[in-house]
Amino acid sequence: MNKKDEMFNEFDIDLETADRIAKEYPSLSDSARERMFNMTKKKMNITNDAYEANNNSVIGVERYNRPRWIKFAGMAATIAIIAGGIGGGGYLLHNMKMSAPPVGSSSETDVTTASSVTTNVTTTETTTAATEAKYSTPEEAAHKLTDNYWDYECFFDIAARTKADYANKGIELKYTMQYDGWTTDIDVVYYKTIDERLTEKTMDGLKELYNTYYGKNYDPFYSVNAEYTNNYELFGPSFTSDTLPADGKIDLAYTFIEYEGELYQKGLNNEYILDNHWSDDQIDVTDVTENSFTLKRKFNNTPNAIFEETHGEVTFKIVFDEDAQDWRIDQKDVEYDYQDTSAAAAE
Amino acid sequence: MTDQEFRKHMERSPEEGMRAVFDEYCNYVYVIATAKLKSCGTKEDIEECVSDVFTEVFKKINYIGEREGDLKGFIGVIAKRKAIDMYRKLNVKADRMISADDEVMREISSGENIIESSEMSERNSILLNKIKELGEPDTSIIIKQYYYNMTVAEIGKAISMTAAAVQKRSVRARQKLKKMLCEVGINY
Repeated sequence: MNKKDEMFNEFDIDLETADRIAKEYPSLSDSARERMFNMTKKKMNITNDAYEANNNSVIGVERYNRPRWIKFAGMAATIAIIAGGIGGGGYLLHNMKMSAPPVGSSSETDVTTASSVTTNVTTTETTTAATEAKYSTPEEAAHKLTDNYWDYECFFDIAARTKADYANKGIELKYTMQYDGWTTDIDVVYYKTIDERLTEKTMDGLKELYNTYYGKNYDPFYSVNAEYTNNYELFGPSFTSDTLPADGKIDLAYTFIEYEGELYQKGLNNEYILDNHWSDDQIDVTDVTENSFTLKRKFNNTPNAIFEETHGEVTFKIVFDEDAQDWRIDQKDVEYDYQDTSAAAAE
Repeated sequence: MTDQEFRKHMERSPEEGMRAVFDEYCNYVYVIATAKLKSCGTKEDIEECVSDVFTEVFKKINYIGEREGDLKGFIGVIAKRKAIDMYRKLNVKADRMISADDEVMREISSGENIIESSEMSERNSILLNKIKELGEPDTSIIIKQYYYNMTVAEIGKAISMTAAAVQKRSVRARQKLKKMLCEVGINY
């Protein structure tokens, strides 16, 4: 067999296709299956034996009985501290009132007061919500836009990486994918959105959420390696059982559609939920101009049975959106830190 | 099979549970492992990888929640990860460098790459549809040869043909397939 056949080497397998091939063309012989199953059983036994043979491990926990009197002593100490705080605070306030100098008794105080009054008047006359937003520091805008980033970014991609009603049958449609002047029909299944973070599960509610964070120039499908993103669109049309296309064809691969007033999301394989979060509160703001700045934040995920630990950094370009009169995300780029495990593998 | 069914099966009889899961998903895991390892590994490496996948799956039974979701996705992801591990080990053994831009390396993150994975999925779907359009026995030959890494002799035995006849049909089928893919804009 020619293992260098580029026709197949260029295609990495995806889980859906692997499943189709396995179901439609199961080709493993009984002997091969038996061999692999026995190998698995042997490995399971080895693994279990290895656990049992490890006499250095610690099993069980030692019970610790906390003396009961500690609870009451703690309560008494807490009450004493609170009472001391209230009493002491009251005493200090009382003394401050007694010793406060009369207004106008010092020239220094006059200047300070006049200045603060002038500032207050000017601010009251000219401040609007918009200028407040514009003149909030980049750090404030960065926190406001991205502190809860992982709670909303999962909705806005080629497919939503959130909970959907995969247990029930979805709506089966198809769209015509266009690339390099060629077209082909692609099946797509929409499942009911059930993620509790979307309080308003309608298309308008979703658009509102999107517009709260992203600017009009933001491209949710941008990726350095992505091609043919012109086939995708976030917000799709609304259908009812009467208006659902008879031939099942829609013009684009929408991430969301509405059906009978409820939100449905495009299903991509099975549940595709990542548990990413910021590694810390650290933000790195650079390239600050009056209307834009760059923000970098480090993230990682909580490893689970499926996803191993991943680290990376998101770079945002944040701009001041004149229409919204507020800061918005204009562009984002994600870089992953790859750990070199080849040394470990070599051992 | 759902996660819950798998757990119940394993609680009732671990041996039977393992057997049921293995029989249901063995071909699936084999196809995934083959796709990753056929360029650098042997049939034994692929079988080793498949057994590693199921060992991992059975060990992780306690991680599996009470979802009604299909076990397939869970097994599929573990299969991909194990195949990548094996790919790395084989390349280290062969003293080959793996670039950070390598497709395999990129796939590890898989967090933001769903656009690429979707495109890959679509192209794979087109390829499989075209292979099916070849008609039998060519479809079976190509699938066994490329998705299961079987030799022409093994295929011949499976479909009652001589190895030479299988080889001849395979060459013709691949030429035909290239033409069919070219017609839908996929060129080689």
